[in-house]
Amino acid sequence: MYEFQTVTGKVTIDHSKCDSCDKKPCVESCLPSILSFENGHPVLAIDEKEAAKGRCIECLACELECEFHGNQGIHIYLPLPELK
Amino acid sequence: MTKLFEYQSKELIKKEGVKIPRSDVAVSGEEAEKIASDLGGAVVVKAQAWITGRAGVGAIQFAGTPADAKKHAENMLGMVLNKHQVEKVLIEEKLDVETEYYAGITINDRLRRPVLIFSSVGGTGIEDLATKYPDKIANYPIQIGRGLKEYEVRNVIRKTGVPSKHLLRVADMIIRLYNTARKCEARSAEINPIGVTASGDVYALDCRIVVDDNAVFRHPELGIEVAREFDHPPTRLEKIAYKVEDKDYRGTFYFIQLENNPQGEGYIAFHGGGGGGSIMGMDALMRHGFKLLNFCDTSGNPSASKVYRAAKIILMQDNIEGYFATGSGVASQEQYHTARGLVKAFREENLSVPAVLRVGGNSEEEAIRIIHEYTRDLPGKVEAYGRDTSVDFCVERLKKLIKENKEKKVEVV
Repeated sequence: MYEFQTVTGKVTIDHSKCDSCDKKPCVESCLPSILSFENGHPVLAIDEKEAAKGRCIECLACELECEFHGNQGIHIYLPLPELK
Repeated sequence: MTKLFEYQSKELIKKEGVKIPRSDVAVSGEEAEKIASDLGGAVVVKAQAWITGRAGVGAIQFAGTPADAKKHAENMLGMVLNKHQVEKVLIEEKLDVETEYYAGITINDRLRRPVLIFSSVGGTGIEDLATKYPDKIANYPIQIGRGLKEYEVRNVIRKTGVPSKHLLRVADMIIRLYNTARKCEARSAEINPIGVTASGDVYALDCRIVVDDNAVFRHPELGIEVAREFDHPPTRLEKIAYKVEDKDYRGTFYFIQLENNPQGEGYIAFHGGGGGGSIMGMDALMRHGFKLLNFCDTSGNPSASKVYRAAKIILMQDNIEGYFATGSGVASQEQYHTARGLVKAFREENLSVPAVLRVGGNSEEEAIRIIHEYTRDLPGKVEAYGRDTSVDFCVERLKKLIKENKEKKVEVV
């Protein structure tokens, strides 16, 4: 499972699902253009730390496009704060 | 602005050297009885709630014995005062007070400085007393760079008829109140009444401090969980919502529950985008006979993730019949962020009630497309509109969809 941190959450990409994905809409849908393909799999085109600092703007576009037009391999985990 | 309870406010002024009656806080009748017994003699039982005029609604009672204190405490705990359920009572020694005054330090936005307000008539109904006895009231704008000097206070309060024998001690208390207000960055700090006993001792019998929301992060010692202007202690969902802002400063997110225990029909989960548009939307909903479960505002260009968390929290409420979102209609923020945040939340929750979303503003066509395309398989019907559609029309649509949803449920049964 490929994953990287964002400002408030985490993006996980199941590359095994990308192999059988025809359209691969994730990279094109990425608003800040921080994803690119590596061996046919979407990966960060920037340093992970940059993504975690806010270059990933958590626009949620990759997840939604993947769900409807790709192979449902991306999940963005955005936890709600927990109370003590 | 963040309100502190009486007992919290009194602790703060006590640290600055203001005399307060001996007291302690109880959360049960047994605790109240024990505290009253330890204090000895007559006590006052005071419900801790952010309302004025507590005596008039039975939220302040005198008790001659510990058993009486227990009885009064049990009556007060759980009492609902202006949406506020009483969880604590203050048990305080009863003092024999001869004279009462009022003193307040409050930030005057027009003057851009704190103002000392003093009245030589204090106690319950201070607002009415001020109208009745205008000559007993004095206002004094404070030069913040110089601070408040003891001689200035004496000059101010003397004009209201305070006798010479009280001047020094009352002025000293006011200086200490001012120092407290400055230290905790209060918007207002009041002692009402200041009680003067026969022996000339001066006590703060009640105290209310309101802290500037924007200063709360500098004061962890105050233990304020949620720096918002509420008329009730924060609910679990309000605490969660406030914590969202801890780590994400992109845009703003306000969430306030308007109903503690919603009963009956007609409750709408409300999600606004901008203050003015929110008010317009809430007014329209109420004009059409709906009741609001909450107020929520995500604006100032929030991230899609912030909108998502707002929607998730909104949907954690009970008794939702419909979800309504609206902004001004001409938002400058990209509306597809709002759309994606809402869609993710709706999909995760498998939205089962109708939603009408008025997402007028930049890129509204794209936002409407995203909403319609990605929610059509949900049990709850979702409709999105742009700037050219009025709020009233959107509310009418919600009304119709709710009616259809109820009929659909009846058919299924």
